[in-house]
Amino acid sequence: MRIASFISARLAGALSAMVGASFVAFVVLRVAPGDPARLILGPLADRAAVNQLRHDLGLNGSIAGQYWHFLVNFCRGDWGYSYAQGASVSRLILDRLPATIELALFAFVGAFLSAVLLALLATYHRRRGIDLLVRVLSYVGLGVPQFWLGLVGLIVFFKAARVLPGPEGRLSASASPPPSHTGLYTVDALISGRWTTLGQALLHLLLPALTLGFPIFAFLVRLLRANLLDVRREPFVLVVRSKGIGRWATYVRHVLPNAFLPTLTASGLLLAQLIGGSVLVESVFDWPGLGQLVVGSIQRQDYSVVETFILISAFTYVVVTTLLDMLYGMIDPRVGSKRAT
Amino acid sequence: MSGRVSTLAQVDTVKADTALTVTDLCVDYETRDAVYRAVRDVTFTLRRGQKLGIVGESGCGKSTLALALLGLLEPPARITRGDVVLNGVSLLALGEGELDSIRGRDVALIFQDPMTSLDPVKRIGDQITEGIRRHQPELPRAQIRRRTIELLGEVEIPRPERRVEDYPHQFSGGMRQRALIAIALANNPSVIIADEPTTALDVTTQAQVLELIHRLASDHGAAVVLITHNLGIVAEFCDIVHAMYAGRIVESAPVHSLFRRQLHPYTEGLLAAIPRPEMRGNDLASIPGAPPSLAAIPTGCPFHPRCPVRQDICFRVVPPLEGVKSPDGLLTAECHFAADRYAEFSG
Amino acid sequence: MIGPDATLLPEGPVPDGPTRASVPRAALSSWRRDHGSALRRRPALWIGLGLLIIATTLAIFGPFVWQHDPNAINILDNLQAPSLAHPMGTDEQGRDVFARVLSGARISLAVGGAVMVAGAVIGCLTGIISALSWGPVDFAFMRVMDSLLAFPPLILAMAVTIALGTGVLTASVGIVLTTIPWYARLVRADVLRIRSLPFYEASEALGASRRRLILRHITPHLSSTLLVQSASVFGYSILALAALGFVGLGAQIPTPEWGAMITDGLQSALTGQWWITVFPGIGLLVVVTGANVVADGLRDLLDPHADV
Repeated sequence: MRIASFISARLAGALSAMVGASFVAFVVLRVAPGDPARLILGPLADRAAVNQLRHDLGLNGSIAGQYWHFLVNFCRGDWGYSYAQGASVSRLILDRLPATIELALFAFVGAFLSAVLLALLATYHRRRGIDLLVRVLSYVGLGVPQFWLGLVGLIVFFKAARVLPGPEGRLSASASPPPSHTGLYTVDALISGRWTTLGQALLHLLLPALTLGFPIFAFLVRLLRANLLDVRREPFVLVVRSKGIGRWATYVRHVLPNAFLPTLTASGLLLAQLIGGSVLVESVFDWPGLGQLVVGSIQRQDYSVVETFILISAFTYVVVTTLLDMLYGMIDPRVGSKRAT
Repeated sequence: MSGRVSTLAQVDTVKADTALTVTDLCVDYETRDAVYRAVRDVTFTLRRGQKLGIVGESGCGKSTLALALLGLLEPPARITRGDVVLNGVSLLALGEGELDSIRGRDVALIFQDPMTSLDPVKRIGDQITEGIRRHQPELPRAQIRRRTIELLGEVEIPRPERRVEDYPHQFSGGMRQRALIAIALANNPSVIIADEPTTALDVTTQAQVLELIHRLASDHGAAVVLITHNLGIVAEFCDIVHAMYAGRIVESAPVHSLFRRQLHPYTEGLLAAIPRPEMRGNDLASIPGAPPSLAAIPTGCPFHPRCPVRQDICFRVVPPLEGVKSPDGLLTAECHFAADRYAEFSG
Repeated sequence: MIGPDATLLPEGPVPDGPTRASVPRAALSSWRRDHGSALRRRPALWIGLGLLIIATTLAIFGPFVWQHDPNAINILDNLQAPSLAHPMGTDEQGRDVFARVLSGARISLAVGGAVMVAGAVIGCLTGIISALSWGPVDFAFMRVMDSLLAFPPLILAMAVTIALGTGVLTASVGIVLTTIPWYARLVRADVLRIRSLPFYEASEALGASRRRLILRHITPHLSSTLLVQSASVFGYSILALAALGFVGLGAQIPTPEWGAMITDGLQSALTGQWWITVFPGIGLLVVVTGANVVADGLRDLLDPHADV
């Protein structure tokens, strides 16, 4: 049962990575200068309160004990409390999650679709013009600082041309969000038929999603383009053509699927990009998501939030890359088969 | 008797039972640096049901020729001269769409490397079905499926109804080659082009696959162009043989005649290089040197650097096509001394 | 800034346009690989190198030629649009942006270089040691690398900077930490591959010492991998530093680091004084793209698995 051993190997790897990551996070953050309890309560709290908090946080125990405490709490969902922002960390995070998810979703889907389209166009016709454009775009996308791109977008489209909204978040201050079902304004507006709200939400999403997705687009289009060019040179493509299948049909039905497979494995990196990128992009656009929460917490030295965010990013990243890996194993019929000759 | 002929087509008048006629075909590779001619003035005729062999070493242009016959040349390769007439229709006059309609239906290809000639992520059955549905879209699904299983049975794949769901990596090399044959036969083409169909297989499987192609082609009434570097399999399979060197056809003869006498020193060398039990204890004969690269075709006769019997004229003058009438049929060779060599063999 | 590896395609170089390579190999049997002509045929590589050289020259000599002090505050002159006196304008405090951009170039290029070298050395050593060690030791090393790789690179760098305090130095340490596992993995894979090559086994059989094996036989073969990866890491680390500067974890104002400068000019940008934010970003774009182009070109040139 090759598949079973394949899956269990992947899971074991994921688990060890997560445990290791939790340890790294723990060590790194406990090394932070200053007394965590003091940091949480602020410089004006009295010593008794600080000591009490130290006790509550288990900071007086051994390092190993603290780590255990830390791990157990995290798994239980007790992610601590943010005194600076007056709510439990889990509450803060969950409140802001939908905004980030909506942004990330639009960014990724947009980047993905445009990458596929452009890669196909660039490779199918062998026309130097489009190909050059795609290559230039991808270099720019990989070399440009994301936050700067967002700012330039704002300068051009908001300040100068006045066609897009400014850094005011998901909706302008005067608009009210649609009744909440999923937390995603676009979906909610669609469900409840609030067309103007939908339009507004989309308009506000445009620039941030473009900014967040651009490096992803650049990466994907380069990868796909290279894979498409590689796959189309393989002998089986000629065999398909010899059956009488037209060029476009051959391309879409045979070349594209084969080119996608390596892209899938590389896509794990993209999640890292989305997570890191949202931290940057949300600040630029005042987008009320996780990224902005983290940046604000850093500035306020509210480390309980930051700590949890770091761990969650790592865990999500490991889980998703492992899932992608396993997905690849299941999609590619060659993986895990013992009878491959 | 000998006579000078300029093209084979003048002798073999185009008859109604001609499946494929190739006339003065030239294929060039046009790159940024230079133009390389891979196929030079190739001319031959293939009659219905006939089995024709094209023999040559790697790099002689055989595979390029195969692709040209199917209209599958991609830039920078291009047909720059000559014509290919399939069942009376000139392929060069057709557009992309029309060529697509002909491929897979009137002419089919069996490729050389079974390991890389199948789409790795699609089932074998689907790859055959695709071909059928392309040319006979009106057929109901069930019938197409039945036909696919039938085809797999014809190419002697055991338990075809089960194997139809398999992926290529679940098939052995020999079975993959059989699947490729099934794909080629799916729509009953009148011409099958087999480009080194057995090169990647072990000897036992080679024999089986060749026998299969031969039988099925005869059953379906298809003509076959067998392209190979292996003279040995040509003997079993073909009626007529053309030897190719540096992009030209340097000798043509009915197969039995060729094995008895070779008018071109190259073909003689090829035959001598086939290991035989009588040669035990001696070195293997081989043709000294290597085939010329396209970038550096020798002047005069392209074979002269490696020819054991070259003369002064061979360096300077490209040999014309010499024809000799023999009891077995018309023999032709591009050698200045073809007639003399024929006389030697006969005398 | 997807990661230190993102600009490198997992596959080999990509053909573009009809070249000699399009003609079947067998037909061109006398053709040998000609590095000279390959270099000539890659204008992109020269463009990338050119950009980097220009940037480096400006960074080193610029501040001597352009005498304005990047930190000189001059409130009366603040928020001036680009002009002859101030080609890139002045910021909120009246500091000359051009001078700050030049100084920023020094910081970015220096950090990029330092991170690249540090990451390469540490990662390389880790990879070699791990590959040549006893099984469980190798396993342990790789698990540690996996743990580091579990973090999105920016997040890990952020965590380290929070722990160690803000500033360019600590930010650099954090970034180095994110590049180490990339190097380690690559080098380890390469060493394992080299170890199984006949010439290495022969050297081992002849009794060569560990040190000799590493120095004389392994290291030369790593050079192309390291070179290609390093070019990519260079670009990545510059962007990472800028990102950390942007969120306030890296360089702090008034240090003229490009990322911090972009944050500094955020408010002004939206009220019309775009130059404070735009110019540092252009600097980043030019330098990083140059590095990425060079990385690509090196990859095409040096990849031992290339078919061209």
